[in-house]
Amino acid sequence: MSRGGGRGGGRGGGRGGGRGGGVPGIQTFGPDAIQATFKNPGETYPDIILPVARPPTDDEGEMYIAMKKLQETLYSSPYYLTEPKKPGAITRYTDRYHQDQAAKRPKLDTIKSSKSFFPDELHSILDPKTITRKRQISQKYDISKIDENEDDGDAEIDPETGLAKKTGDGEDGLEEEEYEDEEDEDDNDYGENYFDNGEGDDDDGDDGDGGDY
Amino acid sequence: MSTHENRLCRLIVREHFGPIVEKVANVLIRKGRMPVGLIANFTALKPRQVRECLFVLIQHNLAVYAESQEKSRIVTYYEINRTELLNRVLIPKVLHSSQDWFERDGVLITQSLLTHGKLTITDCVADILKTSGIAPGKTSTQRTQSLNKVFTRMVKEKCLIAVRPSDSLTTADKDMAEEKRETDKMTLPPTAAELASIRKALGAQKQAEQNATIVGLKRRLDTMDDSYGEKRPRLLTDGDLVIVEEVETDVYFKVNFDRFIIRWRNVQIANLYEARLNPTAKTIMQTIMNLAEERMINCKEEHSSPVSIMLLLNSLPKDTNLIDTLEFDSSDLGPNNTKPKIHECLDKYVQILEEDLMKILKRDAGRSGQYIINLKMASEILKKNLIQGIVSARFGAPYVRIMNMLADKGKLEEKQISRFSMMPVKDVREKLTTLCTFGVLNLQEVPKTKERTPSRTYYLWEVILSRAADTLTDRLYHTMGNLRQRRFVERAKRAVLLNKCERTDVKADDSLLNAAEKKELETLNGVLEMLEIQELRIAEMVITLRDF
Repeated sequence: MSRGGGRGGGRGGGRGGGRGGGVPGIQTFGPDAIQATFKNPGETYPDIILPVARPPTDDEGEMYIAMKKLQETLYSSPYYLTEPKKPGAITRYTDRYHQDQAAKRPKLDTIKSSKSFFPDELHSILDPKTITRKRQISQKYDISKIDENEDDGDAEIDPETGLAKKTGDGEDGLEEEEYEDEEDEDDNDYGENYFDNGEGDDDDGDDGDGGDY
Repeated sequence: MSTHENRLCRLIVREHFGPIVEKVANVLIRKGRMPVGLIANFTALKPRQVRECLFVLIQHNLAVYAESQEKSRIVTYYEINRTELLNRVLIPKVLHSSQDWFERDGVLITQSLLTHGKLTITDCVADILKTSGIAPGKTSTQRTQSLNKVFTRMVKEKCLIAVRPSDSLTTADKDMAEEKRETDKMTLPPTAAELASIRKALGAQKQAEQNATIVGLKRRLDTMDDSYGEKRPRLLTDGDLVIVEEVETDVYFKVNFDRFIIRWRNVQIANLYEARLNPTAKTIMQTIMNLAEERMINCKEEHSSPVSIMLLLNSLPKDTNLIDTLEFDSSDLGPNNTKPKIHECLDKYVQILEEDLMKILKRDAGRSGQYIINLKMASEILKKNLIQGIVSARFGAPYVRIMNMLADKGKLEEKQISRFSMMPVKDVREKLTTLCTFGVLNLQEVPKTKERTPSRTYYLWEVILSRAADTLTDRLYHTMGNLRQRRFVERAKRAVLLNKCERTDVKADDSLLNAAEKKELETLNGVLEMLEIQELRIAEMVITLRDF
């Protein structure tokens, strides 16, 4: 690292002198380019001459204006999502002139689209009155037979799971359970979490204290 | 796929849809398809916010979903549609082309569709009337009719394409579902050969569907209303009926970027002939491409549909001067030295185009008087020209010489390259390694012995066009990402000033900004314009290398 620092220091002094003397920078583009090679790596941070882009044509200028207009339209559309502004600790005089863009934008349920393009769980965004139905395949159990199972001490054990086999009337099929659309505070979709992120692992903990090192 | 492509995708979403949608898109781009719960975990957003972001992405055709049964639940997975996302960098060029081809109404329709993702014709026209109003002297009905007419024309020319609910599903899942439907009909599980034939049949069916009539366009019979002033109503005959094509009002449409790319490619192919021959050759070639364009679906086709020379003669622009731009031998003109007729001039031009070394235009073997375009050859020439231009600007002429030699002659060794290019071996070696690091050249080792010792191995250098195009595309994505990020940085540097400009009192009265602030805003505007235009120029290079 001292080698790098020494080089940088020496070169910095040299470069400063070079700049004052008007030595041109290194051409790295085009036919007169000086390419770094294994034997002649050149300076680590040379002064390079950057190529200058050709100025914009009329067509390109028009394209930029059209794109800028579209950007502004998208920014004020319901599709640009931002967090609503939280009131700051200090109230300033100029706050009266600042508009909360998030509050000013129309909501997503005002847009014109069709539910057929979206899966069931997104229908409530387009139409907030929709009750989202969670599609599950469930088995119906006959409650009257639960007591019978308890008395029966010879319940069959499933060799794979080690649990008692279900003997209730099974009915495979899609059963739709209705529930209200989740409130924000109860938003907890961990049921849909396919991966448990290691929460289900048994953490045995350390065998005693590890001791301080 | 690559880091640079991922970064560019993320920055596009950030600029168009904001930081919250960017977080969701970033997770989907980097980690692949996942359900809402997992996205919420990775992004630390609430599930409701994640659903809103996914809604926005699907509405703009940037995300697709798939429902799969897992144990007792149906889980919905979401995935990003990268092609559609990367096409968004071409929006400025699409808007400009809409202006050229469909005039002001075309631009307004394109803008409305790009803002909302997909709309029906009725909703699109209503949105335009709301945002741009009605010009004085025109009624609402007249304006609606003129917008409907332009919309219908854009659908007929396939610049707008219908969106079906099945387009929101992932292609892989759709293909698997169709395959399963076919294999379920069989009693035994399919063999590899049967599965291959099923897949081929489904592919052909998909191709046929694409070539079929335009989805979303319906035909109806209408009367030619020319009975003005007649006192007695008369019986209508077949001659009074005309077929009118109308867009279905309940079908959603989106901008078809593929059609725009096809047209830009056709223009570039025609431009090749302007430099090689003359502007009239370019006009003839452009007319041939326009006639063949109707049957083109995407840029990956190898040949165009046949174009007859009679149709070409009738379709040429009226101001095309065929006679004066050609030189005939005195033997061809006959004893009276009369000027040749137009169809003879066109035949001569087509013969010259066919004999040109590029071999793009060729006679259709099956039918006489018909010509087809070798689109694959034309695309390769366009890519090669662009790569040569990049290498020439970056490194210089000697490097281009080596690259062209390898492209023409195939695989060569160092010594052969040095002999053909008349450069010392030491220089050639440096240039070859530079070009290989850049991504334009490939090295093929051919060992003489089993041990693969370097001294007993042939090292052959070659140019593989597809690989060079892919590597350069990745570099260009990197540059585009840098330019986009620079725009964010430039705006962030002036955040306080931009915040001041957003104030309602400043918007109403410009004089609240002092001279220094106004100058700073002008500088910012100039910088942003340059960066946006540079990015657009690079985007045009990317479509040549990736899509043509």
